[in-house]
Amino acid sequence: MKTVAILGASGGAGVTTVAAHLAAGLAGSRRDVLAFDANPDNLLRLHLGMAWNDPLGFGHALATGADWHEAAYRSAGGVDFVPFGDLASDAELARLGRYMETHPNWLRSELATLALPADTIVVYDCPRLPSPFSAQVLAMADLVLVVMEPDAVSYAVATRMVARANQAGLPPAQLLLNQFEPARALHRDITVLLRSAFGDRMSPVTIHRDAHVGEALACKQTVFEFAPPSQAAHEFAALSTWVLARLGREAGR
Amino acid sequence: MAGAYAIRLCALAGADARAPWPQMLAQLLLCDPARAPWLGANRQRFAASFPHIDFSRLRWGDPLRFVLQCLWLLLVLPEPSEAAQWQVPPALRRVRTLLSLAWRRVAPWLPGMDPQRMEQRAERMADHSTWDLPLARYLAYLAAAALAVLCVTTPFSLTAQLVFVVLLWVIALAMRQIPGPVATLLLIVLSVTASSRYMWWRMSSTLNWDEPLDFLWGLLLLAAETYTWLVLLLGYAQSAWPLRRQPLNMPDALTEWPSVDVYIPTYNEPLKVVMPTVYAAIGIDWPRDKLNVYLLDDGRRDEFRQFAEASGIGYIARSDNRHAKAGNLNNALKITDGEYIAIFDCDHIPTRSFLQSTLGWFLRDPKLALMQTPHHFFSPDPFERNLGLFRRTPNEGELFYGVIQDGNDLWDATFFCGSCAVLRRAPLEEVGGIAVETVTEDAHTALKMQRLGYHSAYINVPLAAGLATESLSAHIGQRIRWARGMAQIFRLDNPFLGKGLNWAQRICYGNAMLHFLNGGPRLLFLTAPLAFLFFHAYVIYAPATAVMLFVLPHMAHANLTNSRIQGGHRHSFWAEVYETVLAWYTVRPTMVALINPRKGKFNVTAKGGLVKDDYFDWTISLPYLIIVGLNVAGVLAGLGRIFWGPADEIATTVLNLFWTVYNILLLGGAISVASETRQVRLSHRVTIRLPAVLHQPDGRLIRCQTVDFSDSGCALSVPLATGLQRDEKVMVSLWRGAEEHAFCAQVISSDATQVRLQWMLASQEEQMMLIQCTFARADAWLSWSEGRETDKPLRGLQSVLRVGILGIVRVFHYAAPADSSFSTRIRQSGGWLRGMLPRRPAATGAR
Repeated sequence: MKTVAILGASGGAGVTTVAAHLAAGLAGSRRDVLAFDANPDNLLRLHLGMAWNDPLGFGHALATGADWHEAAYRSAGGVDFVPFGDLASDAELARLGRYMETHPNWLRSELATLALPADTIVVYDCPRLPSPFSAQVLAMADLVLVVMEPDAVSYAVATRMVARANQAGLPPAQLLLNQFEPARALHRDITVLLRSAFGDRMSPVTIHRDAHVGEALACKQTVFEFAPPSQAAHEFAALSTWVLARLGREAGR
Repeated sequence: MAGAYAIRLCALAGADARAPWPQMLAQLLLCDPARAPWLGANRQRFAASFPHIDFSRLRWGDPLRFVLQCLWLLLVLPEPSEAAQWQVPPALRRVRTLLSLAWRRVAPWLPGMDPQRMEQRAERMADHSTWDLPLARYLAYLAAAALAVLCVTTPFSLTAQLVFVVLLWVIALAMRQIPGPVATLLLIVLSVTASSRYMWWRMSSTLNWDEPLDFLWGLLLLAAETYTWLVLLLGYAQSAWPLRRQPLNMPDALTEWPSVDVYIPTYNEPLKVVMPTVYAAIGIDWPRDKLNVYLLDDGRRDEFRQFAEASGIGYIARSDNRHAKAGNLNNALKITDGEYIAIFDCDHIPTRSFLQSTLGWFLRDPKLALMQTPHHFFSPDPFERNLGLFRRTPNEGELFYGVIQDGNDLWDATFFCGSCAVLRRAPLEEVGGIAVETVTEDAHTALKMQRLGYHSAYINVPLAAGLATESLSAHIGQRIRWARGMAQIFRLDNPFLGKGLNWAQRICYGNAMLHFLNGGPRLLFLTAPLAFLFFHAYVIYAPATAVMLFVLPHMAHANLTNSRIQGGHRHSFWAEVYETVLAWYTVRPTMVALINPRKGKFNVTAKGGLVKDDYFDWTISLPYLIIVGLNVAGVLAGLGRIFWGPADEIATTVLNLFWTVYNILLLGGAISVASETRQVRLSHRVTIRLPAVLHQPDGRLIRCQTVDFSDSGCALSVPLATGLQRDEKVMVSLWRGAEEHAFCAQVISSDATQVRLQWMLASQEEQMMLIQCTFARADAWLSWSEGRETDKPLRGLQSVLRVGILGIVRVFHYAAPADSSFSTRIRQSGGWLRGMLPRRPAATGAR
């Protein structure tokens, strides 16, 4: 079982979108995938067609004492996912966070009990650091993707995140540019800057800002179902291929 | 026994084996009586197989049409599937089945040949260690020489000659199946044997010493044929083993990379043509501080100076125009100081990898003075445009850049072609700069450098591309200059004389110069049969059968071997058309240059013009029309001789008639190139598939591919209908390596599969980026020859003949007004002839 953690350099960078589409792209390549929403915002499920007012999820199950295994879904496109779930209040969220901090291996042990096929890839939508949920995921991640927008703030934050990741002995973080607009000179320049600074640690795939993505979300679909000939669909498919290659390389080390 | 076979035959044919034999025979020859072709609906099916014959109203030519169509259906047309709209008539189908069964019985007896294994076996034999012993080698050479003398000079009776040539041909066909260079060399040996035998026979027994007229004609023709034979042999030596040099990597340390000056000389070309070249040159992958681009403007135009300043490149102008381009380059040589000089004609757009691919060899070999790369053209030359051959067959220049220069490279005899090359400064200055004594200053400069012991190299990868000549007259003007220049070099600095060259280099340079003397021999071949048809002069004093037995193997082997060596770069028989077009025009300048090499001036090839209307270039084609007229008169005279002349000369007359008709068709091909088609747009569209993204105004992005692009617009193939309207503003992303650039464009037309756009570029920087994302891509020209048909000699012959017929027809179309009775009658007889040809059966409706 391989773990891919998707983090964001800043809010609104598109972490949830990338996580949902990466899972859908891997599922489209006939891989066994599980998308896991570790973000209390609980938005991953909307890309995969879940009803808006359905409160179920693993967090909801933990908070209400139910069995979280019942909170797994399969989208119309064949992607298996586990939503976070709606929590009643902020206090519940804080309580859940403390539980996660006191049980740092909870996620790892729970996933080990699942009868998943051996080469399943689990894609995690992680909230911004610091977060106890992200800490659980990062502890077992095989690949960390840091999603960032091509602007100056993200550049600064991402640089810091990569430096920290290298120090802490975690698997090296890979940068992924999102919301790229080639017509903007600033975007092009930052891309060139990042490539020269990070080179191999940057994903060769750059995700464009494409209106198809927003429209697909409005229809509760991924762009693979909504607009297959779009540039976004092409790019997320390329991203899936690259992630697979990267996971294989990391495993070989 | 015969009865048993008959019953098997009939059973095969589906007849009832127990019926009496007349009925079986009837069933064999026709369909089953229940399905006889003259009954009802089957008549329709039968008639559909012969769509050009109306069975209810038979005409005079119909039996011939019937026979031709039957033969064609039987032998040529591939077997249709059961679901096809029409069916071969059952009788014919039975005969086809019989034929294929017979072939299947015979085929297993033929020896099977696995090409790969044969190639390995041939290589093993050639590499065998016995050949390492000098004694073995010299013995083999001696034996080969003795055999050669024997094969070439022994006189044979006609029967023996027939056996000999059939044997040679069978061996050649067998060798042809084996891939690899060893088999090519064997084919060359066979061809040289056949051709040398022909020449020996010609020289020893076909000159008529008695008649002075015969003797004169015969000698002239013999001289022409000796020239052709010599060029054939030298060509084999030159191109038998292409070197296929690969680019060498540059060293890792950038400090070791040398400084390069890029010269772009220009004289009177419009700025629009020069801009892409400058933009691409600026974008060449090379350290910025070691790359200097210079625009050498012999026209001293302000527009160009301002453009050079705005682009940040150097601008060099001199006060006079002495020695044209050579003087221009030499002037710049004095002012600049880069270690290497890259020269590009003003319309040759370099790719970004040009310098990195070429300079590696200079660092490896200190004596290397010149690296040449192919001149690739992305626009059609007059042959391709007027004959509709663009992208389907290789163009005229590809033989030289694809085969000959590569072969030259093996012998270290590559010569400079004026553009798309890199020269080392020191040797160039040692020979005094670019040569100014002849009009082909480029080849002469390379010759001078090689005399001093420097090497030259060639990389057979297109690293730059430019515009081909615009019209036939411009094309011919350019070739006249080359022919004159080569003849001048032949006189002033003959490669066979003088020191500094080894024998292989002399042969290669000599062959390049001899090639341009082909005008005279070609004109002789075009008019030689007329000597017999008009004047009864036996130019070849031999019976017709003997001539056929010697000439046909010579031509067949030459075509086969040349197709093998050159197949990817020149389709068979097109060389005849190219030579015919240029023959008349190169004769006089070469003669003048051979006699007095210092006469004659440099004429610049016009670039970037526009052919505004369809027109027929009467001036250019007049000499050929005259020769066609003479040949047609010769045909009439020949027909007269057949009907009213002595009976024993009929074979010779028929032979000469065939030759004359072939000449007429070749001339027709040459004339059809003179029929210029209109060139609709000034910017040439290049058809290449590049990945692109279409940014629609509503923010949606569509992944698509370019169909073609030019510097003024592009066409994208889109996976779904975009709903874009005319004049909407969109953006298109293209990539330059890993960098993506978006360009503004306006929609011209849009349908379900394609969107055509016009670029709306705001700044010079965007134009530069566009050139660098399209023309200057490192892989821009690598897939140019995809989708091309492979060379088959017979198909080449067929297409050349068809072009010839079309050419003659076009002359009538332009010459005679459309409604005159003469042209109507010609058109009718042409239509009648076309009606004789077999054609595909019509659809009969669902079955």
